[in-house]
Amino acid sequence: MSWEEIVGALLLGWRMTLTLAGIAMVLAFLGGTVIAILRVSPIPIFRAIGTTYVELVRNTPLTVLFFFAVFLSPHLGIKATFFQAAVFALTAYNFCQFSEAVRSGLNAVPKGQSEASRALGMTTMQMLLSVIIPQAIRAMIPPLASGIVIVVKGSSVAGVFGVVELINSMNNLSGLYGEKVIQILVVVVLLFLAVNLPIGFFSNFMERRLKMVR
Amino acid sequence: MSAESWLMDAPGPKARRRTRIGTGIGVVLLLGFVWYAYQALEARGQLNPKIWSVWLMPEVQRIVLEGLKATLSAAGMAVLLSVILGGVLTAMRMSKYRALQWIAIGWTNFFRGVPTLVCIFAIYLSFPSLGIEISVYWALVLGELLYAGALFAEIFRAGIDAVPKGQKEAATALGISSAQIFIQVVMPQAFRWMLPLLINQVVMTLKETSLGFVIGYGELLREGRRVVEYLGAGYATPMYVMVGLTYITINVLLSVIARYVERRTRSRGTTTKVMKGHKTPAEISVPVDV
Repeated sequence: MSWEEIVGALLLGWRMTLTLAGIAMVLAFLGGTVIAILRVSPIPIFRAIGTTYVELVRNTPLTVLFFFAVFLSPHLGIKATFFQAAVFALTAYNFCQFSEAVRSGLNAVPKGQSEASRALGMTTMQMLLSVIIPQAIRAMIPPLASGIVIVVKGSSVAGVFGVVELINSMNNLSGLYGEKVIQILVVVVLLFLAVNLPIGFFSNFMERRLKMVR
Repeated sequence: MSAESWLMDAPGPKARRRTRIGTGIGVVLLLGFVWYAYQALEARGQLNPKIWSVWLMPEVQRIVLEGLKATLSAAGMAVLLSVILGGVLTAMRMSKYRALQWIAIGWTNFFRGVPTLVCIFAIYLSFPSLGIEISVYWALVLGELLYAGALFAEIFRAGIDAVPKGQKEAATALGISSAQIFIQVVMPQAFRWMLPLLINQVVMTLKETSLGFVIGYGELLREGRRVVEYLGAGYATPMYVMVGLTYITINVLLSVIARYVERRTRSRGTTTKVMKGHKTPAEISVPVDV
């Protein structure tokens, strides 16, 4: 293989990584919002369910979750491809991160806002939709960005569990073309930085704007 | 634990009734889920006591314990070295030489953008071609500490920033030297503030040692898998649940110890109140990503 072909193979893996991360990110955000709602709910049992889930999954490594998804799903009768298992593990793991992001965003809104809304006679739903959530979004952005970076970095674990993505390609190619190992690694690192650095800078930028508002 | 105070007013009769209905629905859903899971597991023989008896087998326990020791050893070394590295990076960040500042900032941004697995592979694959022999243990530890060091540096920086400026100003007014100010005034307060974040990072590092199984380090997860490979795939469920529970137990234990230490080191009297200008860790978004 020529160098161009090697880079081409890496880029194919990269596309898979981004696809995996993209799907997991969206699902994790949706699920995380659900869990955040559970955790702030006035009904104690919902809070308990949400908190239990978060505490259990937060203390488990991502690799263990991948093991569950890949090796235990046949035992539960669930037939899933490697890719589906990877999406499941990545999503389930990041529910916690995104739920914390949503929750901290909601909590960052000054209490006076909700008090004023109630004084004006708004229902809880009206208060949430018109007052709280729009203000919460700005505060949510740094931890959400952080969550996105975590999802992208976590997708690299999928390479070990049968998903042909960037890390997987990197290993195979390094095995075949040992003398080019360092160049391959440089390309891989650059690809990850190309995605994660802009997200980081954007997050810092939004954080500074948030501080100015306060 | 009560719901956030901004969301609800004190519940009136309608709210109380809704809460009761909601609780009823929640309990029904929960029991339904448990029932369904039980059925699914039972139907596939996953609840067969024979396979779960593997928890009691002494060889299995020994192997898992070996794996746990390996995990803790790698994690401990990684945490130790990354705390040191974090301290160095923080010092660089706060120094007056721009170049050092930039190196520290660059380091943090760089290693937060690269997955830890890539770092570990990079070290493991590239060192031999540079002529340096490296064991899986050190590839794992070094791979982890590149990133963890940067995270600790961020935590240290946030902790030092969180100490109200008035403290330093008062100390300077009292004629205490800079070094003394740092050691006796800033550090104790910063440490107490940082403790939850530090423990969080230790837990993260511990979880990351599970990546060692990818390069063949005999840590907890890998030993669990070895047992499954040896005994047969039917034993997968109890073994991996065992591994998962072990991780959860250790990490929860760490958090509990941290909370205990925090309570013990908190001073009594009026200073237990958050001082004016002192931000709580929750308000400062120190990125605690994996």
